[in-house]
This record gives sequence, C-alpha cells and structure tokens, in this order.
Amino acid sequence: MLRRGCSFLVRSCERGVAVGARSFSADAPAVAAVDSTFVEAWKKIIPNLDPPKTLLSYMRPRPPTPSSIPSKLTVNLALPYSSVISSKEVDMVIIPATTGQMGVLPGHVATIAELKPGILSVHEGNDLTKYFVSGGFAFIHSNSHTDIVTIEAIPIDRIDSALVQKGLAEFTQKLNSASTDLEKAEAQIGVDVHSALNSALTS
Amino acid sequence: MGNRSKDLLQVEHSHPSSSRESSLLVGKNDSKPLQQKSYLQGNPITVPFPKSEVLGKVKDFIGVISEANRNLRLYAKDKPEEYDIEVLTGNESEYIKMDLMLGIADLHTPESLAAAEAAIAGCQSVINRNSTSSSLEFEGSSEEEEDEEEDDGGEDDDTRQSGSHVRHKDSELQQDDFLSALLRSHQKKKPSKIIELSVQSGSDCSIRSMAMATLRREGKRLSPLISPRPIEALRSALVPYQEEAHGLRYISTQAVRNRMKSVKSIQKITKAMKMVAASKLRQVQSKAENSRGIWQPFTALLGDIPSVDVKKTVLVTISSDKGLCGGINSTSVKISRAIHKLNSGPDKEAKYVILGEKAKVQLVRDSKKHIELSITELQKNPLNYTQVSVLADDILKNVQFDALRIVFNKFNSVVSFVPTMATILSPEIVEREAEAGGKLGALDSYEIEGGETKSEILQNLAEFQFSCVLFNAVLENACSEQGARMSAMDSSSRNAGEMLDRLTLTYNRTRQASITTELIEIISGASALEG
Repeated sequence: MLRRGCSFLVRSCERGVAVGARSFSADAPAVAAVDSTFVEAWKKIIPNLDPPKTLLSYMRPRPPTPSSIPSKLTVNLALPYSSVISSKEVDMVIIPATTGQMGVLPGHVATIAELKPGILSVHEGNDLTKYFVSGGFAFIHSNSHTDIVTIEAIPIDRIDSALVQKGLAEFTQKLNSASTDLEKAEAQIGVDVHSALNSALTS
Repeated sequence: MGNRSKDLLQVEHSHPSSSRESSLLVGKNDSKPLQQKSYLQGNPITVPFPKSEVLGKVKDFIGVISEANRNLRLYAKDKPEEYDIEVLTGNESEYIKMDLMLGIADLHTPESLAAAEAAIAGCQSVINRNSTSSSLEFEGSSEEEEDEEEDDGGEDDDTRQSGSHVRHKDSELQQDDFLSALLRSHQKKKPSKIIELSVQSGSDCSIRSMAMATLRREGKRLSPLISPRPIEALRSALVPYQEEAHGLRYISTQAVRNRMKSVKSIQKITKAMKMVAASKLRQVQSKAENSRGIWQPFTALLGDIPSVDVKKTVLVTISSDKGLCGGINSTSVKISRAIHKLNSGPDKEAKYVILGEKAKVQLVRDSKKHIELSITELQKNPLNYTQVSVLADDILKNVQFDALRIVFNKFNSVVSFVPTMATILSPEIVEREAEAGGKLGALDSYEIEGGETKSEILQNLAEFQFSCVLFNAVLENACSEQGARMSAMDSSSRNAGEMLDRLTLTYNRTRQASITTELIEIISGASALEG
C-alpha cells in the first residue's frame, strides 16, 4: 500500500519536474560470503547442481562499528533507477522521517526510519544539496553508514512551482469530490505530496 | 460428324419451337442422321465458333509456304551451296540456340577435365579425329548450356549441325569468328567461365571432340527428350540413370541445392535475431546496472540467510516469455525444483509463483498443484518500477509466506549468467530470528523512528524490500535473456555456416560425379559403337 501510494504521487510529481540525468551506480565486486549451512544442506539433497548464489555474495561487506566516532558520515541514496549518491562522505544529512525532519550526524544511534515525502538535504562542508524524495526508508547503521532508499529523489531546482500549485488545487478539489474510500485516499495522498512540495519550495 | 453438326443446325432452324435436348436425344422419332454414329451419342451441344482471323492467316500462310517450298526445291537443285544451311559465311546476325542440357557443360575446370581424362584413358585411340574444330562446337554448346541453365528451355537448334560445319573447315580463323560471334551476342552472365573455355580450347581437346562426336550420334537418341521443358525431362532421365549405373547413392543436385537455400535463409534469420537481441540488451543493461543499488541497503541491514528454517516458502521463479534464449530458463527451473525439494518436508511446504511463460510450461508438467500464481507477458511494455510494485502487491496479497525466495539469472556479462536466489523473510520470521540472535541479532539494536510500532515498520520494510529486490531481479533476468539469446543465435549462425560449407562440398562432389558418369556412359557408348 505504501509503495502504491508512493508511485501514485510520484506520477503526479513528475508533471512538474524535469528529471535529470541518472548517474551510473558501481556494482560491488563479488565477495564470497557464503551461507555454509545452506550450501551443505543443498549438497546433501542435490549433489549435481551448484547451489545458487545469494545476494550477499554480490555485495561489498560493510565495515564494522569503529570504537571512536568517525568524523564523516557515509551516505548512500538509492533509487530503482540509479544510485544518486553512493558512498559519499558528508557531514550531515537531514531526512524527512514520518515524525518530521531528522538530522543524522556521524555516530548516530542505529535507527530504522520510515520516510514521508519531503526534503532530504545533504550537507557537505559548505555545500548543501536538497532533494525532494517520495517516501521510502532510511537505515542508519552504527558504523556511520546511512542508507536511504526511495522511489524518486529530485533536486529541488528542477521543480516547477506553478505546476505544483496547479496540482495542489486539483487534488484538493478531487478530495472534496471523492466518493469512494479509494478515491479519497488517492486524493489525500496527492494533496499531501503537493503541499509537501509547496513547503519545500517556499522553505 | 460434320454431317451430324450440320444436321443439328438444320434441326435448330427447322424446329425452333422444340427444345434442343429433344432434338439431340437418340432413339427419338427424329431424323436418321442422328443415329448414324453411335459413338457420338450424348454429345453436348456444340455451338459453332465465330470464324477467327487466325484461321484466315493460317490459310494464307499455308499457301505461301507451299509456294516457298516448291521454289526452294527447284533452286536448291540448281545451286546447292547457296541453300546449304550448314555452310556458315560468318556474316550471320541471328541464329537459333539449342539447349541440350546434357550436363556436359560444366567440364571447364582443369580438375574435372583431368578426372574425365583419367576415366577415358583407355579410349584414346578412338578419339583422335576432328580434334581442334569440334572443341569449338563443344564450347559453343556448353556456353549456351551454361547460360540456358537458368532459362526455362532452350530453343531447338542445329548447333550440332553448325558444329559439324565447323568441322569441315579447318581454319582456326573461322572457329574464332564463330566463337567470338557467340561471345558477342550472348551477353554472358558469367563472362569469366567463357574466357576459361576459350583459353582451354588450345589444351587437350580429345575428350571434348570425342564427346561431341558421340553427342552428334546420340543427338538422335536425345532429341525426343528435348521438349519445351528440357530441364525436368533430362534431369529425370539423368538421375535414375546415375543411380542405376553404379549402384552408389547419389543425392540429386537439386535436393542439395534446396537444402543449401534453406540453410542460408536460416543463417540470415539467426544473424538478424542476434542483432536484435544485442540492441535490446544495450537498452536493458543500463537499467539493470542502475538498479543494483537498491537492494544493497536491505541486505546490509538484514543480511541474506537462505538457510532459515521456515514452514511456508514461496518460490518466485523468473523466466522469459520467448524462447530461443539458450538454457537460462531450464537452469532457473532446475534450481527452483531443487529449492522446492529442499524446502519440502513433513511440516514444511513450498509453493511456486511463476513469472514468465517458459517456466510455467516446464513446471506445469510435474508440479501443477504447487503453483499458486503465474504471470506472463511481463515485458510487453518496458520494465519500470511502478509495474513491478503492482505485481509485488498482487503477490503479497494472494500468498501466505514465511519466506519468499526469488530465483533469477543474474547478469554478470554477456556470456555469463549466474543463477541467484534472493531471500526475503516475513516480518514475523525477522523478529523471531532477531530474538534468536545469530546474523539478525543486531537488528534489535536498531531504534525505530516514528510513531509506528516495530511490527508495522517491519511489515512495510518487508513489502518494500520485496518490491525492490523483485525489480532488480526482473531486470537482471531480462538482461540475461537477451545475452543468452545473442550467444544462442550466434552459435546457430555459425553452425548454419558450417553446414553450408559441408553442403557445398557435397554439391560439388555430386555435380562432378554426375559429369563423370555421363562422360563414361558416352565414352563407353562410343567405344562400343566403334569397336
């Protein structure tokens, strides 16, 4: 339900947005992190075939938790279409959690946060990059790695405010005229997204 | 019969009221002429055709030609040399070609020549008359045969007679004129071969001369075969001829040629399919590589533990809809079956959710009752996340699971596809594993941000993880499908090419063998007649 809602409001977002070029993500080299129990059980029953690989073997393992708090935060922002940020060292990230904007600094406690549509800002020294993200998840690990997974993340400067206003008006009207629950829910989501966009633009 | 039709006409005119049938019926009260010829009883009504102009022209022509024949007979008696059509003055502008289609024509490569020579080495003494001149006749007719081979039938001609004329004259000049005249007027499709012939005219002419001599003699035998469609008639005459002659099995050249044509077209098709697959691969590959970032956070958080002990497993097998993509679908199905076996037991069960036509076909055969859901035509529109998330939603709504295992082919490179299994645990199992410690033990240390409870968050997390991993899996499988299709089509083009080479060799062998056989027949016939 969450995803359907996200994808729905993404569609409505994109009317006012020019999507920029996607950066290519680097594929992590395969590291042999094999689940031995599985492999043994496999070999007992199916001796002729090789067991299938698991996703873990395609991932670079994460560094363990350091004893002292590191100075920088490593951020990954992943979309289904690209990895916008991958393993970038930054100072701070502000994520739009369901409870509001949440700042993440190095050494933050391990957290799983669900995201609502809003602004994600990445602070690197004096650089500040703002993205409007549709909902998703953010995992903050204890080793100062932060993974943010969303469906869409668009730089703010690509959003057209006129279209945002128009969309907001449209969805408010739909909400008022909605009859079934489904329509009401969809209209409500549209209104939420557009108002978030609006506040993102004005702030 | 003329009588009868006239009578019929009269009957028509005289009895306009009576029906035609009654007038024609035999045995009725009508006139005797109708009963004259019993075999004409029951003939249908013949209405006389209007006189055509062709008939008039023919009548005129008959008169003219009888006149010309009479004149010719008179003048030819007086001055025979003018009317001798076998005497060539060298100034002819038109002539008629005769296409004998005897298959002797192709004897223009030195190898085949040598083979024929070797075959008739014994008959050398018989051959040595009419050496140089006859070679030209041979070349003439062979050239014609060469060109006529594609045409639907040669025109009847007295090539052999003109050839025999050339035999009378011994001057090389005349022969060259004849040959050059032929060359000029023919407008050869295969000029190179003609040149070869003329070059070889100087070389050993013995075989050809002998061949032509026999050909002249045999011409009478062969002429009934020179019908409007000489090709079929002669070929059918030749083929059983060959087979009976030696007791060996000869495939007809036509059959080999047909097969070569079909193999060549197959090669073209597979080459085209390879190009198409390559272009499709380029498109999907960039998408797949970009999507690889999306499942890594989940795996970083939750790990990927396939050996988790669960009661209900749902196997999502991803395959292609179209075929001709090598062995990737069979591999996926094999792995799925193995995982199914692994996860079935007294208190465990595993069910299938199948994406793609090919896996469905294979799994329906033996595991029909284990299939929960099957989805086809995934790639009708280009793959995007929205479509896959809707699909994931469908699956999640309809199946109960403790663990979801997605089986797909991961795309490593254009030639390497690795079968991979991704595991997604349901929130309850995740909690259970987290409490139990082990790989997921660290999960407890994570705080939950937000007003929702842990189980709700985990529920959302599991759903989101499923859709992201499924998206990546579908893209990777699509890439693997195109890559596998590329390499399958490439290897089949190569095989077709090899087969074509083999067939060409067979064809040439058959052709040369038929030539040799025909030659031997002729030679032995000649020697029999001589001896």
